[in-house]
Amino acid sequence: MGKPKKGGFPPSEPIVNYIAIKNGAIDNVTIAWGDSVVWTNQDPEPYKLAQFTSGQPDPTKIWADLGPVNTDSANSAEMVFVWSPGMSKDPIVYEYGMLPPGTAKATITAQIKV
Amino acid sequence: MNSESNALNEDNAGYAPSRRRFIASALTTALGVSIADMVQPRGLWAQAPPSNCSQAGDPFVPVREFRSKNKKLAVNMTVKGTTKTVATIAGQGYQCKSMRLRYYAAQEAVPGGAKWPENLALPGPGPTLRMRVGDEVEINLVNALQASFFGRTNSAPNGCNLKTNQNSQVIYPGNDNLPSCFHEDNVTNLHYHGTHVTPDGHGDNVMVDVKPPDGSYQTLFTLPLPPPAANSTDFAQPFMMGQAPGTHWYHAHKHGSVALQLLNGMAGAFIIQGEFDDQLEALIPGLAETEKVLVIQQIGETITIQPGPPINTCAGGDPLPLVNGQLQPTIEMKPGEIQRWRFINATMQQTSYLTYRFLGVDEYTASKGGSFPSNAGYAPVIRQIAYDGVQLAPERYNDPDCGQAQEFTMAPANRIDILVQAPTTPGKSVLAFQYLHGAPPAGCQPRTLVDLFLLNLNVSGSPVSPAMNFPTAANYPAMPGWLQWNESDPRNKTLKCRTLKFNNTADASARPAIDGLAYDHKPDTTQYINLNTAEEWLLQNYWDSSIHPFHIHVNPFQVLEIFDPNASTQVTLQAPYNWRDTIAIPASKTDLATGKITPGYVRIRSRFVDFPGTFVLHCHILDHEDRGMMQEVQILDPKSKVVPMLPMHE
Repeated sequence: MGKPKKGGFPPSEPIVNYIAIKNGAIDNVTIAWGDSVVWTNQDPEPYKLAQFTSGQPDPTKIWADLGPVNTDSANSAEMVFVWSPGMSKDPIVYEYGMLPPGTAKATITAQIKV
Repeated sequence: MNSESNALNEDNAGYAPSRRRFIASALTTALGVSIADMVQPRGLWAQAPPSNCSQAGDPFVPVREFRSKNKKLAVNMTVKGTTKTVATIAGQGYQCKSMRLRYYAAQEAVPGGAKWPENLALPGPGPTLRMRVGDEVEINLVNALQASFFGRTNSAPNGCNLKTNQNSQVIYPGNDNLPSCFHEDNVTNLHYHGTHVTPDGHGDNVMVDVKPPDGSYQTLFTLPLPPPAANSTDFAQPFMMGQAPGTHWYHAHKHGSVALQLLNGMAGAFIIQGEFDDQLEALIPGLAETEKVLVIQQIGETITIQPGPPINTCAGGDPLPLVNGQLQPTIEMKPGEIQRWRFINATMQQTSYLTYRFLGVDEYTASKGGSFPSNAGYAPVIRQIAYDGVQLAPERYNDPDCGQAQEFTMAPANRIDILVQAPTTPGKSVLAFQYLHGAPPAGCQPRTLVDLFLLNLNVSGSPVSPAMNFPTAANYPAMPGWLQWNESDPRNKTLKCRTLKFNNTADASARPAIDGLAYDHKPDTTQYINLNTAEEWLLQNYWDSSIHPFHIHVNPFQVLEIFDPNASTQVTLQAPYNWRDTIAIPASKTDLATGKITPGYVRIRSRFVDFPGTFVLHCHILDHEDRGMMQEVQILDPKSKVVPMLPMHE
């Protein structure tokens, strides 16, 4: 087992941020580095969420593949937002949205402390 | 933050009155006094948290007890999920966070039976269950967890849980695989830690799965009475053990989700009373009335995983240990009073491997972050009377290094019973702690705690009258015959010696393992032992970064020797040896020049009596257990047919 990495900063106690998707809309959230995100689909339609590249959801960067509400796959697994040495200590805004492009988009802002 | 994260719960029935309002209500009910009637002690560094979170210095609130009636304890326990507000002090100081947690909703299975919890918004243990040796125990467990309330589990291609990062890189499971990986977060069962009952059927059976949304399982066993006196004289008969009366506990034990469920708080006190308690009460009248049950937990929502290889896990970071869900509560005593405090370390990670000592407030403030001062200042005197729920022998009670010591250490799963005598004048002190563990694994919470104490003690009012006194060397209760180890009894001859190496797998996962193998529910990770035999075991730790608290179900053991290669001096243990059911195996020492590893080790001996069947041994740092540091134990009765191997999690 390794030793703690030098640098960085004391993380806060990690929590899971549950982001509801309802009526095709996604809330923007602000989280602390080390926190996780779980998307919960409350709509009858399945959704695929992808990180943006050049202003569009990138099909090669799928964040979640959600089944319809009330199915075993309606919630995503945990995705953790990890800060590592070399990254900016300023907040970083991640844009993502639904595939196909043109539907809902949202942001996750990750920062040292919420 | 999304609007869903606050005040959501599966029942849609939760409410979140303020912590103070709840405490005021509880005290008014329990004591017949209002909060305004009481002195309001404050913590040393109390800050202003949100109104519905625990505040440092709040009055100590006992967990509700369910007691056996007419020699039977019957409880309905339902596992649910809800959003709770959890106070802690971690990397960035005081925090009060909303967390979706699994918890026990319980009710006595009698008409009009009491319920627990009283406030859904507060974290903490399940109800305290209290009974007596010889009593029947019936626990009806129902799993009412709603998978849609939590993140998806088992979604990795190999059936383990999946965790990715923002770059879509897979952090987990890496090379972990079933059955020893994090999985089935919402499946559960119950372990009665410290009980001596059958591990099969409806006993202390951790091989069952209780699945959501409405799976159920009934536990039904009778706690053994002390064996008859003939036990110690008729060597031709098999030796019998009784149930040690003492401070035990219950907790979830589904392999693959034990760490997460205990991190969520799924544990509670399981207090078994017996002759030892009667003897103490005779020596110190009124002791039972003021007794305190203190369940220590580190509450968290998710297990932190550092990508590998090798993958490191550090559970919920390094939050300040809570007591019954409270942050640094205040216990009140009268000058000169003696109380019995039962500590249960219901945590699941190394960061709670701590040494505790009472210090006066001034001495604590002056020494904070350093060694305990030689002068504790205004502090109570303590006497340890039990370890892991088994009473100390008189020799150990009078031992300067054990019962008379003013410090005590608990690894995850350990229990300690102490008698606390307040100073004869009013004043304030804290139960301070020091880290015993090394630096946390890479990516885990650095040790940045600033408030290194568990609780406050406030001594006020008139001195107790008549004066109270500790038991003496002459009148301390003798050890019952069945808890003695008569070296001349042929049944105590150790027939076999085993060595278990706590290390890592040699495969790509490099998981926590025993003898190089992650638990696989096959014979290569099973210990076969004949019923009615005694054995001596050597437990070696090859990790230099962590202790491994060894725990075995059903039968307690005696600790004969502890070797810590990182210590400058070794503790010499003497007979009669203490009984334990969990012992921290010290970390190894690696010579950086040669690469040679000197393992820490513990030598134990145990009698495998009374109950054939299948149970487990494992490390009680529970993310280690979930990932493979566990083995099955099969106790075989040579006089009967071979016990069929139970399917894992039937």
